[in-house]
Amino acid sequence: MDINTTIRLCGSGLVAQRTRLEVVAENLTNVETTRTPEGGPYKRKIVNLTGEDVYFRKRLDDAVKEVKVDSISTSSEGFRKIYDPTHPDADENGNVVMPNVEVMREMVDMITAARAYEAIATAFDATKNMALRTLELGK
Amino acid sequence: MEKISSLTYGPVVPPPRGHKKGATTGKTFEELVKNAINEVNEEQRQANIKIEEVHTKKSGLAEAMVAMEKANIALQAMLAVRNKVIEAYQEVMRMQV
Repeated sequence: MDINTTIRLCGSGLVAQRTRLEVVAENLTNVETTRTPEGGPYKRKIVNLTGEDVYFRKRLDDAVKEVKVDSISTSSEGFRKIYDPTHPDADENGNVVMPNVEVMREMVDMITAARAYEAIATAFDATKNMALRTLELGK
Repeated sequence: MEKISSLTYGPVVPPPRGHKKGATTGKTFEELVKNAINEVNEEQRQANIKIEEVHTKKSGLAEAMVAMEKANIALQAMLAVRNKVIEAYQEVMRMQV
């Protein structure tokens, strides 16, 4: 495994974690959204990550895997029902279906993504320093 | 002592005629340097493309920074080789004739 492979891995990790953070931000933004173009309240989105072989290593047995965003799926379970007859989207009983976004869970996801990003950035930094230090051996 | 003198004053065998420069690797030193410089240039180009893509919102900041760091490391590697070559040249120039 050369330096470029490691850098590539770190790059893919950074992109994946940023996507996670983007989706968390989207979920948090839409915590009170009761109307969507598809109809119904906003559905919580989940990022699915997948490991992919780094292409130029495919033939080797010790192939390393970089992370890719496989898909972003929506969850349609656990919608909150609150009683608010004054709400425009309330049904005949006065109940409003709110998005299935839980702020606490999103916050935890956010912290996980941010910490993972930090860890990958540190790994990237270490790789870079290692490469530059190697070059200093010749001095 | 005999062994040492045989080592130091051994007969200088001239290379056989028709022996091409760098025939062992198939590439001259000049070609190798040129290839290395071209590769570094390519890295820099890729980094530039990524920076442009950040401005046109096609790719993220992380990708651009990664490409830039890659280019930086490639450039530093090339500089290390250049410094070594220049050093060797200067060492030869300092030789008493």
